[in-house]
Amino acid sequence: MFETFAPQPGTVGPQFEEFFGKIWRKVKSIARTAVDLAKKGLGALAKLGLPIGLLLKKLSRLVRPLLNRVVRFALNRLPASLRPLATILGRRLGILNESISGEAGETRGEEEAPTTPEAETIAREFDASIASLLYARDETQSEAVLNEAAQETPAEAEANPLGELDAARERFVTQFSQLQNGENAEPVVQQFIPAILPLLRIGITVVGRQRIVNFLAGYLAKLIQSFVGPSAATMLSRALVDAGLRLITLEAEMEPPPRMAARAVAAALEDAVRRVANFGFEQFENLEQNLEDQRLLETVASEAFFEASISHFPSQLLDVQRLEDREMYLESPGQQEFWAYRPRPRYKKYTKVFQVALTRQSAAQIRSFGDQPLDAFLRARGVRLPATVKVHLYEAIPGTTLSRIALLEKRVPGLGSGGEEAWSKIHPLTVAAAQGLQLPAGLSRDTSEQYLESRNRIGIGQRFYYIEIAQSVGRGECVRHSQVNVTIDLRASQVRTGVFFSEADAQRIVATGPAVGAMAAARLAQGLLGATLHSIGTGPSRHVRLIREATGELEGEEFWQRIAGEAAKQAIRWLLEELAKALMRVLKAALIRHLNARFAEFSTATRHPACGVTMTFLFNHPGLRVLHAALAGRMPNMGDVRAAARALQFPSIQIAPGFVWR
Amino acid sequence: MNEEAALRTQLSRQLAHWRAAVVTIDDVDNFAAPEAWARVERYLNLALRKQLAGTMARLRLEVNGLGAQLASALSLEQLQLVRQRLLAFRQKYVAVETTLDFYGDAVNTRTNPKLASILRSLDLIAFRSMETVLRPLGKEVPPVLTYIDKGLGASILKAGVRLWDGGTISPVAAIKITRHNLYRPTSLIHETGHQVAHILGWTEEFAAALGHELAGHAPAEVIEAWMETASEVVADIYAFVHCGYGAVAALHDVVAADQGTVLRYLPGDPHPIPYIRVLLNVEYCRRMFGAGPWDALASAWQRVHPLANASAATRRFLELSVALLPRLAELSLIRRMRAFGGRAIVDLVDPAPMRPDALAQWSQQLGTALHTSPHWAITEPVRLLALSAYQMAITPERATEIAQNYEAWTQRLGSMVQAA
Repeated sequence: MFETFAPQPGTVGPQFEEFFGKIWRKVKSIARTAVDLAKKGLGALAKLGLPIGLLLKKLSRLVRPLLNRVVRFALNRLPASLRPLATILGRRLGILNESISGEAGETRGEEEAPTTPEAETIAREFDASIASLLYARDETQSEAVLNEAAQETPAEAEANPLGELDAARERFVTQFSQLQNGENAEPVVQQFIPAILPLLRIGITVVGRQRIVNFLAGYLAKLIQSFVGPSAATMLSRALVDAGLRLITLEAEMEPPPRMAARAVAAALEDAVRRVANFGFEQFENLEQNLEDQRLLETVASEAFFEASISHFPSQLLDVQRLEDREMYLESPGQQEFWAYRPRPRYKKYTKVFQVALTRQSAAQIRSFGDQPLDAFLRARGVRLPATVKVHLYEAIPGTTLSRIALLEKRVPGLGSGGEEAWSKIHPLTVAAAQGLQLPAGLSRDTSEQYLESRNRIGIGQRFYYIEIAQSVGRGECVRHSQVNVTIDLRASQVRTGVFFSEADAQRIVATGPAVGAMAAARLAQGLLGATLHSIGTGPSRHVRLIREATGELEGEEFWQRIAGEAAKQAIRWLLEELAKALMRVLKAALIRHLNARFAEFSTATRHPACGVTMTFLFNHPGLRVLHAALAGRMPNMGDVRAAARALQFPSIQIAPGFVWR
Repeated sequence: MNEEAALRTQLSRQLAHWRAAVVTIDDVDNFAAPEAWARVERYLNLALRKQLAGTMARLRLEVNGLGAQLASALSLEQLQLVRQRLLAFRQKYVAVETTLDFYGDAVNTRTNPKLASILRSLDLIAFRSMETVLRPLGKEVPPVLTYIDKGLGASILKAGVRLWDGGTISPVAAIKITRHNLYRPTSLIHETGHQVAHILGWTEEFAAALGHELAGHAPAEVIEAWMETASEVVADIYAFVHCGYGAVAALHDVVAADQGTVLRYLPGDPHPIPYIRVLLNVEYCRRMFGAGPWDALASAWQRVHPLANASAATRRFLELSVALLPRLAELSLIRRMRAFGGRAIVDLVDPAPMRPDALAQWSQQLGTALHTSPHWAITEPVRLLALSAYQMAITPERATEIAQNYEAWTQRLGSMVQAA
């Protein structure tokens, strides 16, 4: 039934098919889960006695609003050449009409679903709708869910904070570059700041926000006054060009000096406002009545602007004494180079490209997205270390996606395409990564864990690096890295642990020969096991699945939300940790023993065309009933928990080609 | 019309002609099909286009300069100077066209997607073979553009040399692979050996070492003859350390011509006489691996080409050289060189993994995964080439299967190398 909504292959461009494919796969996987639940009579819909066909029909009503929103959202972000095709697709799906198709916004070089607030909201709300539908108490509630999903709030349809910021920034650049010597910049700044705020997720009332905007505009305008006027613009643009702007800018993108200077000022202002917001706007809610608050905000804004200036202006334009005073804590003080908008405001690039001597040891220590070690990434592309490589640095601004960086960096060998083979080569520039790459620590930024999991979700201000490799192999066919995944299945009283060896690791294990191979595999698995098993205590995660009898698979937050009371949570956490320890003990020995005896089986699996090899360890574990009972609200005693952990028996083991996680 | 006006008219017309001619060659797409350019690895494509654009820009500047000079020429003498410069420009134009034509022809061999994929994999293999030596020595590794052409032997237009137009520096190492050797191209590594030697000054140092170390062990004219062939000997060494016996057997098959050719000394030829060249390469195998299938190759070679058939002078040279073989092999492989940072070539490229038993064990342990897993194509392409060449050498009856396996992994590798 869902296939009727699927885009027909060949009717739209391949990039659009890929973009749509991701959403599509999600819809199909959710439908499958729902059908599984229904077959087992577990879902609420099944309790209502709905046949599977009807259940799918209900789900299909959820899909249509999703597609509607996705297509509308995507239309504004597709390249102009793809938009007519997307419109055709939209019409074919019956979710776009003539009036909508005519509304496409400005051209953007973007194929992938960007990690923007809109995209995340759509995905999150769809997940929520699905969950609500599946767990609806009765038919009326499920109807309510469907109706709600079908509605779209007017605000949502209209709001486009990214587009507004882009427009406001361009307006600022034009107006600021036209200011004459001595002219007041405050009105121009005052128009710009409100467009920056909506993307910073700050909790403040409309009235409070206006007060702060007025105050900041007045204060920041004073700070940028020295850049106002043609002569100041000439001086600033000259300094920017001298500090490397020309090196990273295509000839066609070079702007006249006044606009170039205005753009650097805009970048510094945006960054300064973000820094002030990080300090916390909420405390300045009643700014007008409180002089002390005003002084505090002045200090905060002054420091924020100075720090932003270090990132966006060449050092010779900065106050040397002030730089020296803050040397202890400022990022990259005294650097000649700076972060420049590239090309125009899509992201920022550091004007210096670094030459880095990269060793195997340092690459092994550096973690990329999804905790993948950098050396595994480079190895998969045939890069031999040690090597001297060129490293380019980028920073995300609102609306940045890694595919956008990859697409627009046409002068950088290895980039210049929006395809995955290009953007998958961009890594997060955390403090640890900068250390490993021997880059100035101030250029890196640690960021929230949520922005380190996937390249599809990045944060404003997050920094990245790209390693330029001459004559390299692009995205290999087998890119999944080695990992351990655990499924705790309370329905079957089983723990299934899948140790997946990537193609590279599996081949290297076999190449070491049967005598050393088992040990090599065990050494590799030990590190992976440690990381995953350590996370078991925190409940379901990217590598840990927990399946309950009544509800099926539970996600992390949902899992803990369903456990009532802190005491119960503590007990379950402890129980899971005990289980992890027991697993660690048994797994290492089981893996070595099994591979010692049956290395040939592992070797045969590596000859299969599938990428990598999975060893699945299946523990039938009656002791899991303790966890089951705890989740149902019956607290176990210590003795029960220890006994449960001890009861872990030797697993049965299967070796299979490819990636397996059941 | 006076003489000055007449000359000005002639020059103006010629200048207009050459200005138009510059426009016709001012686009690399005029020399190779856009789809062929698109099948060149992105980095390489960029390097090549950038350099050729520079060449074209210089030519444009030159023709514009001529125009300005003509416009400002006021006397007959000045017009004569313009005429001379125009003649020089014609030569320059032809040289630039030759440069563009050369790269255009090379790129154009990629119009067939399958062949393009194999050539991309050869670009990478060549690059890797140089990387092993150049990277640890802190030298830049030039990108490689391989192309296919007719003939018996491979050749290289080295990166970093001045091209026909006298101004353009060759941006890439352009290596010709012959059709007959497409499936056993160990000669590719011989050619990258030339490039590495050029960058490191290996040839000059090796020639000097020959002169110094052989003194007293052979007559001066014999030593001198060997010194003259140093550039080809080092390239053979390079192919051997990377590909082992496979490279030696492939070399044998290329130089195994008629009696006259194998035993003939050609004055000025940088290649050693084929007879002794094959035996020196066999000596490398013996020095590094001991006894092996190369012994049978050597004895068959010597039986087919008895020295009695050589001219007296050549025979004497060859007999004396045979006696020098162990010393030559030692000098070639084990002697430390300044070019290698005070190390021997085998310290930088260990030929041990290319030993027949090591290759056999590797092949047995990994089986079909060697040809099907992207891992090996990406990480060990040079060793896979060595394995393929070795298998071809010792089991010619399996030639079809070996060629299919070779095609499988090179195609896979080529498809993974990012095209433009």
